[in-house]
Amino acid sequence: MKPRSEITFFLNGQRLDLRGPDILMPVADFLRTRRLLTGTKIVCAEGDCGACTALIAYPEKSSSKSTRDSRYFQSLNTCIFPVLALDGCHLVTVEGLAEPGPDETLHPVQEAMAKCHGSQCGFCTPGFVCAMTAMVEDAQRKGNTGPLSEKKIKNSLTGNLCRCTGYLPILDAAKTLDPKNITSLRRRYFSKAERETLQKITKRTAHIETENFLGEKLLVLLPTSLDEAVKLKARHKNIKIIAGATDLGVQVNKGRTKLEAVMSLQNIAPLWQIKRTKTATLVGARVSLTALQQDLENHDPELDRILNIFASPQIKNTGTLVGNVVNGSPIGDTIPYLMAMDAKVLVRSVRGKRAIPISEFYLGYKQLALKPNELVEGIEIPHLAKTEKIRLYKVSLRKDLDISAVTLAVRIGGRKQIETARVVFGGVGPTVVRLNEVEKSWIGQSLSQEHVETLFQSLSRKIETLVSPISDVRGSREYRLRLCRSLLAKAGRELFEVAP
Amino acid sequence: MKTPANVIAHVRGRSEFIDDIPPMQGELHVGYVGSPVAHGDLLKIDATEALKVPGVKACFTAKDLHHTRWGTIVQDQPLLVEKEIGHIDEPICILAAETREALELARRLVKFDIKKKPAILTKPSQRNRFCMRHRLFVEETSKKD
Repeated sequence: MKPRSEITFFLNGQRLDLRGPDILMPVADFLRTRRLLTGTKIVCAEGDCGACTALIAYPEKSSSKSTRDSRYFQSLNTCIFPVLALDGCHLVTVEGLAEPGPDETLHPVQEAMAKCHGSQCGFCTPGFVCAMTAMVEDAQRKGNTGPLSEKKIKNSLTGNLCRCTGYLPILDAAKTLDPKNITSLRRRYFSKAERETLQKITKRTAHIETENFLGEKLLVLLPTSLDEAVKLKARHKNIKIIAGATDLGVQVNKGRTKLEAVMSLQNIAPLWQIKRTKTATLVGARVSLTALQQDLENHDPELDRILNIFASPQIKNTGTLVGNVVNGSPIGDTIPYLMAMDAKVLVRSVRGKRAIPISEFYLGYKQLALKPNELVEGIEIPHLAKTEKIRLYKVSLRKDLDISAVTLAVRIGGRKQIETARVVFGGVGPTVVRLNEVEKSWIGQSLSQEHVETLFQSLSRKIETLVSPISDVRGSREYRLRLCRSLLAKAGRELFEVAP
Repeated sequence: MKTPANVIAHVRGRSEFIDDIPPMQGELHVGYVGSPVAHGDLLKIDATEALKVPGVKACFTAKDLHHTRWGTIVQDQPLLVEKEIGHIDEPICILAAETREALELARRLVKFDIKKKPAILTKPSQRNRFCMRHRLFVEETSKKD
């Protein structure tokens, strides 16, 4: 099949086909400067404040295992999302919420925000309106009826900041909403015919060559199969690979990198799957953190707890587990967990597949054990045995949505004696650190609560000989060492308690 | 309480903030380049590379805008750095370009020659002395250094 030379998506019900350099712009800039849809605001330009929030529905899912869902609109930060990643999707902005027609009836969320005085200067309002609409859509998807709980409301609005009205009138507005009385956006947008059109289009690879205003060549690739993706990766070794682009979008906005050659994995259907075998869970490269969290809710409460404070709904809806892993930050919040679980990074190239144990994946600060022709297709997370316990910790200046100072994951298992032990720290060196020697020395020792506490206490006393944190804006070396000591003491006690 | 009319525009995303005003034909985009240091002497501005970017029209410095002084109480602060830099990111020059893309690229290409001095951060006594010496704020006492 001949590749297409444009991307196609719907914006507030209108079909757009784009092929020029605009497809590499952040969506928020595109909306504001190219479509004059200025209701979407830009404030922080790094996915923190939520003023740029809009709603997205993905292409039709192709199998029951897929986490991709075209029927419900989810929130996203448009300031860090590149236009090309909208291919096959439907985007609804604040301008698309009110009913069209002479009356221009407000969406119930807009009505509630106006009535409850949830808007003062108005700059954050469109973002709040969109995030609240996404909250309603999510409740409808889960079949919740009746007004939402305050906790659910707060969790849904963590990704939006207001600096004048205060949050109380905004929360009041959200409390008046009953999802069952609100018409879902899917009844108005993304009809079956539109979905089928896009499904057909996105079955063809997109290969777009264009140039920017300086005449520099730009390349955008959206392959439809993994085989094709690895062939393209072999040909274009320096191409940037994106899934949700939540990190790359920030780097671009800060002027630290330019998007010149990009390959998005969004149209490769199998990468949206979570598969569970007898021994492990396989998470595809395009599975969002939201989808992962929903899947793991009952399966792994510890990871669910960390993901709750990890990021806002907007970020988790687009960001992926694989993205967190390949970004390679020493404070990537999921990496200590994955190392403690002996996860494997599933890698593929034209030469074949391999599985790299995640504890061997980081060679240095943001340096990965990946060859230039390889790409990551997923993560394999072995199941926790019944005899094992895991605890995860994350300390940051702010509890929610903040970059960690120190993270810790511990896993201990066995019957009467310790058979498995993992102690993994993040934020204490150029990479996440696993304390292999300590783990080995614990094997075979008593698994009594008392003895395990003693082991953690003695490790806590000598931790500065094992890790070497630096001083930076998120904490001094001394503070970080103190956190390590406290977290070890806490972990030693809490391992035997029921998960919080 | 009645709902103010502008709130309806807010929730619809129709309120027009400054950055939302549609551009006029031929309008240029301007932006400043700020100081990378908190305190120092500005020796030279080199905008040669920035001006080579297609679409970049002009670079204005304190020499062009010397008549513009501002301040909440005493209007004695230059809009752009003349000689001494008083805080980090203090505007040094202003670029004008046909597109935002060109402006953003050009902003990264301006080079400054700066003689860096120690930053004055917390100690009030030092700050007072500095302020008085440089007559940057209203003098509180007539005491000399």
